[in-house]
Amino acid sequence: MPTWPVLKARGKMLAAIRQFFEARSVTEVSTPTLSRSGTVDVQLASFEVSDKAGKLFLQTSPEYALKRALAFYGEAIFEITPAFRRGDHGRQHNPEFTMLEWYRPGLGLTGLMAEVVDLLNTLPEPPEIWRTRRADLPVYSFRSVFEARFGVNPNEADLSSLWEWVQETGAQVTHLEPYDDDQFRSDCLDFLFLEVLQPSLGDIFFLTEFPQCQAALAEIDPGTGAAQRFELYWQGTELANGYLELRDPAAILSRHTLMAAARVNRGLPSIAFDSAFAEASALMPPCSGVALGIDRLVMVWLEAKALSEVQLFPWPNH
Amino acid sequence: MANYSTNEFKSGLKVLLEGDPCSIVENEFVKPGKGQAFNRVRLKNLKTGRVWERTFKSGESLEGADVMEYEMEYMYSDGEYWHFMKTDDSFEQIAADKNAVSEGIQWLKENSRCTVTLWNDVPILVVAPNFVDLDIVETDPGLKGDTATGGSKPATLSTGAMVKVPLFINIGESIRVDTRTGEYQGRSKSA
Repeated sequence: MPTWPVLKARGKMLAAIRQFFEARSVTEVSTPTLSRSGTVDVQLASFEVSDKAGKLFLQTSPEYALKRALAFYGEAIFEITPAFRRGDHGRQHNPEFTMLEWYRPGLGLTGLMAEVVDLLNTLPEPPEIWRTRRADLPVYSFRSVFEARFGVNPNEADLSSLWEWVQETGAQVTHLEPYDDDQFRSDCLDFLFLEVLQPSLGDIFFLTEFPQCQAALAEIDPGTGAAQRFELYWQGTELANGYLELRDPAAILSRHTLMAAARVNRGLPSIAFDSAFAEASALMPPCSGVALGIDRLVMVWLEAKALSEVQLFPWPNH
Repeated sequence: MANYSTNEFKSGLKVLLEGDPCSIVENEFVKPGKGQAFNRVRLKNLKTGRVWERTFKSGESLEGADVMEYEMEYMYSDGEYWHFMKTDDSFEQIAADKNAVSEGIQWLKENSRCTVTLWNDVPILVVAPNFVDLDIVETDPGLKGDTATGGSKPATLSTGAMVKVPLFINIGESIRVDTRTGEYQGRSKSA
């Protein structure tokens, strides 16, 4: 449970975030947290509820709804909302958490990364580590960092080599099973990044140029083949995740088809896909968008050790 | 025994891994972005004392191990077994074999209070107290007045253990040893 000073600091941070967007004419909106469709992402589990008409899902992020709003209005918007991910519980995870997500028509990834830094710079009482690092945050390319260590582009490394490298990390890995699909490639790359690459990258940095299998809903650069995404890492915690947004309904559908197949492979329940979102994506203005975990931000900002120190009534002891 | 899922893993929980009883040292839930969630778990193998690091799929479970720890008093050895008695006034006795006492052998002194780990009621590990007082049975003659130079010499203790002691220590003296490091701590207070 947070102390009162922690709770007060959290409130001030939220107020500063709203002021920041007000000053930049980004409008706060609210989207439904309950929906007939959910994410088909293999690694995200939705909470389900039901009514007479059938199943509903608590949203794992406001992404689909915000993008539909973006397609409809074409304006810069942000939302601060609860999001839900079943089974995610640990020092840096809580099944219910607060997410800040915003979209910027006309802005590219570099501009959006700069805006993330600007936002953090307006927050009250920055910790020492931010004051010393903020002027010169390194930006690493996943592609380059991976190539430098393993000598191959992460898009092209074959699955058996990836699996071998995972086995060589020293940890006895029993949580992964080999599958012949992109999801397995992504899981191996994640583990290698976590165990081998990340530790040498410093405490606060941006990561860009993700492998294609981790493109999610980001554009792929036709020249480099890299997914145009970024993440902000803060002492091993992923704070923010931004995309140059994919606006091609056919590409979105084919990526979802692949993920739905990976779900079937792993015996996971099927989930209705938000076709309204896929259709609307064609109407979105060229834009970038980013999601930032508010509880994690408060945790690192106040130098707390776990989310349970900054969230009221932490799981499972509601 | 019950099964425990990764979200019930906490430090001190006793589980079976590859047929050996283990105690969980640390458990962290890890989930990279939208990647596969897993638990990074450090477990101490209670038979060997070695610490293993494993990743488990979140939600995976392990069978619990029937492991109990007792404080017991060391009584004697018959050469094959080392005999201990519970200190809870039950006078219950158990016999531990050489594997269970393993490195602890060299610190076992009659009447000392040890921690004995039982798995399915069979002793698998004996841990001597952190500090023991033992008599010196063999060492080079002491050098009078040489208390400040910090030199040391080997000494054999009544249990057969070898430790390094300062030059001024003599045969027949009782010294205190830290059994975790095997280091000399000083002359025994009671001596």
